[in-house]
Amino acid sequence: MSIKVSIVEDNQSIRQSLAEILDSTPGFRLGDACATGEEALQRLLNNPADVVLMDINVPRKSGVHCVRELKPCLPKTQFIMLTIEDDSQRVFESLQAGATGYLVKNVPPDRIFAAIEEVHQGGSPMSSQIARMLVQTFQTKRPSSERNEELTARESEILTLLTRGYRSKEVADELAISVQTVHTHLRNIYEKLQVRSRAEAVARYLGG
Amino acid sequence: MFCRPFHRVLSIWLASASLPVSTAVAEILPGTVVAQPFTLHRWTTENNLPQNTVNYLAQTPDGYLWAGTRTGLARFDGVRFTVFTRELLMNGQGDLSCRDLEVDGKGRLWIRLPDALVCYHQGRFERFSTESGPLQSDIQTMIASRESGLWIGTRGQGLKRFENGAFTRLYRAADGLGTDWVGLLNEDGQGRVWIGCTDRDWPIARSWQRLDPVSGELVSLSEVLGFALTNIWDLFPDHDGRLWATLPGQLLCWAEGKLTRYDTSAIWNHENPGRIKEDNTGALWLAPGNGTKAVRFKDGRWDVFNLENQGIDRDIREVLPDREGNVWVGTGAQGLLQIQPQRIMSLLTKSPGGGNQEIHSVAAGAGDVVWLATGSRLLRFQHDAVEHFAVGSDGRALTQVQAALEDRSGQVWVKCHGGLLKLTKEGLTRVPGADAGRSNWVVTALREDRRGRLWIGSDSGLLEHRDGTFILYTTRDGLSDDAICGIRDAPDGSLWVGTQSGELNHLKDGRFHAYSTRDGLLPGRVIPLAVEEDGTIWTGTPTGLNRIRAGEIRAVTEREGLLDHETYSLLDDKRGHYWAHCNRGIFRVRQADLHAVADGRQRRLHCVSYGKADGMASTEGNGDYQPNAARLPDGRMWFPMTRGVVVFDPGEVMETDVPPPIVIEQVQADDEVIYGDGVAQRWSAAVPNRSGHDAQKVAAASQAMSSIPRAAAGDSRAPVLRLPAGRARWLKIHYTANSFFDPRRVRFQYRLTGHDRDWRKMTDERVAYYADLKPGHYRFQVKAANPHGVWNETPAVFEFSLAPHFYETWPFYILCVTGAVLAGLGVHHRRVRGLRRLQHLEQQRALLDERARIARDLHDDLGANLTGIALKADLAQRQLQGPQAVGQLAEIAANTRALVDNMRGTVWALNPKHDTLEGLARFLAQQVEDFVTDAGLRCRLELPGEFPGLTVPSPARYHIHLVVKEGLHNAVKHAGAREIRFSLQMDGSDLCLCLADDGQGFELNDSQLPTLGSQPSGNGGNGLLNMRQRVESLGGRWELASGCGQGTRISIPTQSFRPKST
Repeated sequence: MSIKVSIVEDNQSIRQSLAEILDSTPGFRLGDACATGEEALQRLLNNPADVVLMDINVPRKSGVHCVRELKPCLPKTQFIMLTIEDDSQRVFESLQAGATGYLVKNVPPDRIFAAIEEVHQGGSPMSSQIARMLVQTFQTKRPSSERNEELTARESEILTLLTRGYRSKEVADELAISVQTVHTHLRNIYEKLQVRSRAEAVARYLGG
Repeated sequence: MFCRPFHRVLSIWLASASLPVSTAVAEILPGTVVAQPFTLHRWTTENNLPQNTVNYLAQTPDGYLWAGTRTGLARFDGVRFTVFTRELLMNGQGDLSCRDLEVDGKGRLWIRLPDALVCYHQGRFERFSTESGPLQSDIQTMIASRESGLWIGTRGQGLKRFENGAFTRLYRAADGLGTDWVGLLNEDGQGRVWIGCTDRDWPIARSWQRLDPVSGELVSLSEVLGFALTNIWDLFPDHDGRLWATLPGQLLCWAEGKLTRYDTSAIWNHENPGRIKEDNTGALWLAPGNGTKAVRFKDGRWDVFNLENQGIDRDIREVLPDREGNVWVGTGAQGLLQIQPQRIMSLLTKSPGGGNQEIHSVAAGAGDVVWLATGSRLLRFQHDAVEHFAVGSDGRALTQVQAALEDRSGQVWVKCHGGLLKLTKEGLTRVPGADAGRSNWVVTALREDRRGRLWIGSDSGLLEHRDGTFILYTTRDGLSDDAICGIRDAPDGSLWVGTQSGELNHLKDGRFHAYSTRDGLLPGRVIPLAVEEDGTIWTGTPTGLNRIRAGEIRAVTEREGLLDHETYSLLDDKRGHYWAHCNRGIFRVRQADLHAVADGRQRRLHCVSYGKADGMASTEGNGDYQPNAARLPDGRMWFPMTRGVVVFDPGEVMETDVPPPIVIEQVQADDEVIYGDGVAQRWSAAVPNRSGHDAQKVAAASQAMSSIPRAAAGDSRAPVLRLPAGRARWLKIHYTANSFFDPRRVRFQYRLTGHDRDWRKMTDERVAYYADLKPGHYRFQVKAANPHGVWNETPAVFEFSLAPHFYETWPFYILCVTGAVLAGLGVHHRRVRGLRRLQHLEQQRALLDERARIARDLHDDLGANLTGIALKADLAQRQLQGPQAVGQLAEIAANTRALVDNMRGTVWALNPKHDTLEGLARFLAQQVEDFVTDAGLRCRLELPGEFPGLTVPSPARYHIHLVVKEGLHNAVKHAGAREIRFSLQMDGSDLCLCLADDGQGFELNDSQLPTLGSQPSGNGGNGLLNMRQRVESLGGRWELASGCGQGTRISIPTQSFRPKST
């Protein structure tokens, strides 16, 4: 069954081309192609996709905002952020909001499809920079942190390797576990990140 | 204080009981004797009078009343007695029994004591002992000269002149004086002295002589008159040059060579009426009847103020009319009395039930007849006799008698219930034809114009009585409203008619023209009040007065100072005033002021008001029916009130309205008297007209016990007191105004220039307090108004200056200011520097913002569009056939992406957001990771866990980024490389970057380097050189070590990088 992909991208040229390429590529089908965040919020809820390519800078409700709104309603949908520049801070914010990966827009279509497939199959592509930020994030203990917000030893191990440039496959080789297990760990890490960021938001809210 | 108003109200019926008493005696004029109503006030020792026997009275120009008793001297301002004893004595010794009080032409008060003469002037007492030495004299009487100094009559030593502390002239029997016993003295307007010489044992003057002090000529009375006169008790030259003499049973007047004798048997016969006094209206005052009454004589009329009725049973010692028309009486053991002749009288009707005593209308008849309408009857009032009409000719009782008018033919017209009556032989009879077409019409106004036409205003139109018939004008004839409130005629023969609905109609040449609120009339019913000679008309409305002059309407209201909102009348007193009645009493206003306010030339109207305190039974006026006020040919005015009718002579009333003289009595600073009464001599008062040295000399010479500087009203030479620093933490200023009409109602306003911005609120307090005054020059001013609102606009002044502490002085301020300026300059300098830095930072910030904007634009527009192109190329690739086109499209896509990649690097370097070492490390690691992964090699990164907070400038980042990129390209091309390691470390203060591969390396020969084609470093030959140059431009070191595990290594000193600003 082909992967249903929706696109949120304000640049018309990119949006149209991506949509056409997606539609014409076997294994993929196009869900919605939205130009603004507001449009995305309206349409994606009614027409859930497997994977959403979300421009991080989309006008009227940013991509991060859209993910934060949509992800709780569409838990099965994976969000891949598209960025034009290397802004790991923004990417990290999206991950906290519930995104599962990110791509620089400039990559060739094949890489995009690969990323979509990986995410769809439970993979969690993670660059060394994102891994670094994750490590830093989880290093700072929250006073009221619960277990499900802390990383396990194995998860820390995986992240550390990733920060040093290892790919998922290399991590699996290094730790003598399957790639699938690595991905599962990464998914868990992402979820903990989300839980943690939500808890922080609540704490911030309560703390005034 | 003794009984308030006595004889307040003169009953009309009672008035006849005091009708003129006349005794016809040939060639002796009878005079008219009238018992006068008056108000009596009394002060005794209970009010702080030193003693209840007041022998002598005087009033100084500053307004104070002085009472000389047997135990001392008291000064009175109407509220408070100030007793002087210490000042009169020498070393606390002496007799305080006052024998004479005299005020000389310079305003000095002379007090004769048994052993001394004391002079009081401007707050200073000077004492001249008469016990021994050159001043020794057996004084019998004295008068103060109009110039200055004293005339002193002695027992056995003739007449002496006292001036400048010494006797200067002497007249004795040997010089032609009648005897050496001088018992009576009076000075005339030319400075000549009438001298009454007595015998040794008999106080009645045996002879009278007139001394001309300039020529020294002595003339006897018989020489002046041309005939002999004896038994003269007192001889008094008045202000007009007439000579008055009191004799048993007679008062004589010698004027212009003619002697007039007045019979006084109704007043006195063989009892001496005492010394003759003259008041400011020219009337004479005497105290006959063994001292039980005071009498005023003027123009042949005796006004008797009988004190016996007031419980005064002892003798009158002295009578003194004051400047306000009150009369002061010193009595033996009865204290000090004040007689206030009642000038305004309410005449009350004696209505059978005693209830309603309302007067609705007053009209002047022929001669001195006055017609009064009381509602139930018509009164004819003449010579204190009253005739009343209560029944009509039809035998029925009259009702609603509310207006009457006597026309020039003597016909009396009366408004009553149901219409108009006229007075005929049969009594009050209905007027046929006068009905305005209705049986129940109401007459509201009666007016006879200058041509003798009778006009009748009613609620149903205007009637004109012409040749025995009545002509009715209504709205059909152009009148604006049929309900008429009042009528006035103008000198040009035109007629003004006010209406209930608020218009003023002008009937001229047979046509009505109406003025209304649209033309500026105040709203409400219009009563025309007065027409002036130029045709200007004043009208009253419920909210104020209107003036209509040449078609222009102006308003004067309560806001401008009108006493009440509605004015019922305006009577011209022919002296420039209007007198009016309203619901707050009676007031007068200067016509010029009224015009000035109407013209807007003057802001405030000044109304002098009269009310119950002046003897009125009611202050509420009646004005609904015209005529509602009358001025009689003798000038007296009559106003109808809700209780009785008010009658007065405006001239008499105005006599009392003297602006009250104001005195600052005492100033205390912090519990110490610094000025005025009781001042200690510690404070030097700089009196401009007399130096302190002179003052001391005079004081010593005259054994003055105390020297009291005093500020008199309007005295421009008031002393300026200098107070040392720290004085006057609080200041208490006692002031007063010498008005005796109703002292409790005297109003004051004061201000302290230098402290108060404006005059303070009106007050009846006679003391002002100030606290915490700053150093500086101050001028205290106080002004006052009598109870009628007559202001003395010339304030009394007390000036003083308060010296500053050293820290309040100019040098200290200058020091402070200099210090402050220097400090300010320092601060300013620092601020300017700070501002410059701020400016610099702002410029930098602007630059950074600009860089961020460019970066964003490049990304958003260029980057996105290029990406779009690449994707289009990809799309076309998929849709096109033919390998060549596909290849070319692939190349387009690849080149475009490469372009975007390059741009990303540039833009990253440009964007100030990434100006940190951490940002640099992240970016480089990402680049390496992406590049190496894309190349299918392993990537290993070594980055420190934390980075120092350093700012890496954009050029440095840009160069480092390109060097790393170049190094990556080189490494990837190395044969056999499978893994690329990138490390970024801090080595001391140097930033060390290392890029190594596990390939086979290469020779250090530029020509052997592979060409990199489309790679950003351009041709390979220049690649290494570029890398080196870039690193060296950053002051760093570049090493290239080829071989296994070797690669590019650069180290860059970070001293030039600034610490990251937050």
